[in-house]
Amino acid sequence: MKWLAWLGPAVLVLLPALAGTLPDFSLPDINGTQFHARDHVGREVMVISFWATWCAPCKQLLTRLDRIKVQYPAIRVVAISIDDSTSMVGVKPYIAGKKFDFTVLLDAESKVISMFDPERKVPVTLVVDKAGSIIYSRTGYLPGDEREIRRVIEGLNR
Amino acid sequence: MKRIVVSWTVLLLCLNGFAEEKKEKRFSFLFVNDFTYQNNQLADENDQFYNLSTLFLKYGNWSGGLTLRSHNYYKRLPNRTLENSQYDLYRKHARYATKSLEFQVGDFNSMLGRGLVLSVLQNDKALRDRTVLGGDFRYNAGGWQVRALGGSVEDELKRQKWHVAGGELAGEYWKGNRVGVHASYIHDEKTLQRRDDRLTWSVSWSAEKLPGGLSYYAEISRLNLLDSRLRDGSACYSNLGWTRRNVSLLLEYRKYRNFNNELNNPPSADRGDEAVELRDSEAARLYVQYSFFRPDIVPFISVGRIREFDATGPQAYGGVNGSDVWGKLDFSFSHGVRETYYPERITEGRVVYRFTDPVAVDVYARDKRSSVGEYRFNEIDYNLQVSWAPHGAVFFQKQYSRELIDDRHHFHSGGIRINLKRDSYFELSVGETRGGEVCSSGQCVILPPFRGWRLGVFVTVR
Repeated sequence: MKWLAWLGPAVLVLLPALAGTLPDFSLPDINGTQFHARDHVGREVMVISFWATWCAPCKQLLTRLDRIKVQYPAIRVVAISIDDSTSMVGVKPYIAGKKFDFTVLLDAESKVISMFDPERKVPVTLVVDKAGSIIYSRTGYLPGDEREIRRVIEGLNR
Repeated sequence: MKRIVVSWTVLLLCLNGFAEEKKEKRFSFLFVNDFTYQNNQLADENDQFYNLSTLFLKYGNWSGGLTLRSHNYYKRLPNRTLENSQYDLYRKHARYATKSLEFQVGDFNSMLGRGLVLSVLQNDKALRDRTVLGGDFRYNAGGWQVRALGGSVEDELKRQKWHVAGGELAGEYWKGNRVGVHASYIHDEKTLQRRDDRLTWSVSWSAEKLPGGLSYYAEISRLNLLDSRLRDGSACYSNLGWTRRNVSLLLEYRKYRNFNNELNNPPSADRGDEAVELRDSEAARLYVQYSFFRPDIVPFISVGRIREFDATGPQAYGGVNGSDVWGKLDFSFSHGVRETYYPERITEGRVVYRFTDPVAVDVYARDKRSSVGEYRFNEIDYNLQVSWAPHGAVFFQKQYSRELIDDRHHFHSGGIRINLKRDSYFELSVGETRGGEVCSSGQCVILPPFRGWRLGVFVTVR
């Protein structure tokens, strides 16, 4: 069975490089309205950030994304909370207090984050262009990462 | 072991070859590999590794994934090294989803209502990684959703196993107001303490966006033990929210009695890092926050009462968060007290200061104290991280614990993280960590201490 340990690298070598597109998903937002990703692909640039109320770096990043949203109002920032039943109740007060102009979705069952990171190492951040291609992705957050996100978005607006 | 390390080294070197993004809307894939090697001097055998390789594929409305695991220790039992390395197909799933229909088979996370009747979710901090292995069907039409699921749940150590069936019917009945009926049936196949089969059901009412900034959620539930002389359980959870301009207010109440069905995790109406007592407890609290200053300074306070069995006391915490102050500073500070059978105090603070982009310093400190009679318990954590985005960071951690007057321990550790291309990084750390009880989302785990060094390599290709 030791061959299984080799399987990961082998899969990478053998797979065709067709990656980098946003999988379709749908989730409820904090107002109970269903959000369908396919309705937005082809229309707008999206910055998707997976976060949780107990994750301090995630909240730092959301604040940075808020500034980027002010600078580039045409982009849609989608903040997807992976809070579960116990911590979910904190999502709405947090977002309301911050006055973020975000689309805030709830992924309590981890259906969507597992498409992007099966181990849920939040924050996970994606920039998706109008064609639906993921042109930036990052797991984790270091203060200053937002400069790279801004640069990617600037590149799209040229 | 050497072959595994060499193969992943080759893989990292090859990553640049996958840097080109291709456009193809119908097909996408994601590959994630998380490899940890550690020399754990507190384990019975020092050399330990844990590797998860996950492949996720999507084509049109179809998606699926599988995770291969190879390891010689369990994350929840890191001080016990397995005699032989184990390899298994850890997770697998296939899913079909349209706007109105969703069907999946294999491993999936699941929550019915707010987790009163069923909550099988991942909880990384509490090292709880459970899924339902079975099938899940959902159908949406005209604002109503019907859902049915069934399968088995096994804990990661393969020591406990349950069979579960569940379902819910939920929908809007009047102007944004929703009603739902939720139920689960659980049968123990292999558990530490075998219990009777049990039926848990609930009815919920909710609205997220009412005029005047109001929202509410209420759920009442019963847990019926079949063929038992033990008492049935009951639960009630409700909240009322209100938001106007800079002010947010949340009123929460919950009452749980004999309500542990092994696969549920109801809301706590408390700090997230406290365990929820399901046998007999009651809590009510009012949470208020006000934001001022642009970009953001948000003072907040939560005050309430909590009862666990016959002990009743206050639960209160408050503090202030600030972000992007003068474009350079993030901070948070909070202090809380909680007292039922014994008093507990938690003080937390964090400051992140960006000197000149991209260099930033992150300082975090947490002090937790409790006492029962003469017994004193004190844990203090200090973390210092200097980061240079997006390339990486160096970090240092000092932990202190004192359980009895003469029993003091200091733990030091540090390391470096280097980010590679495309959400991939490696991290090397060395030193000692304390272990102890870690609670998240109402669930707790006791972690043993660690001494040694650890190398982690996390690779994502999409």
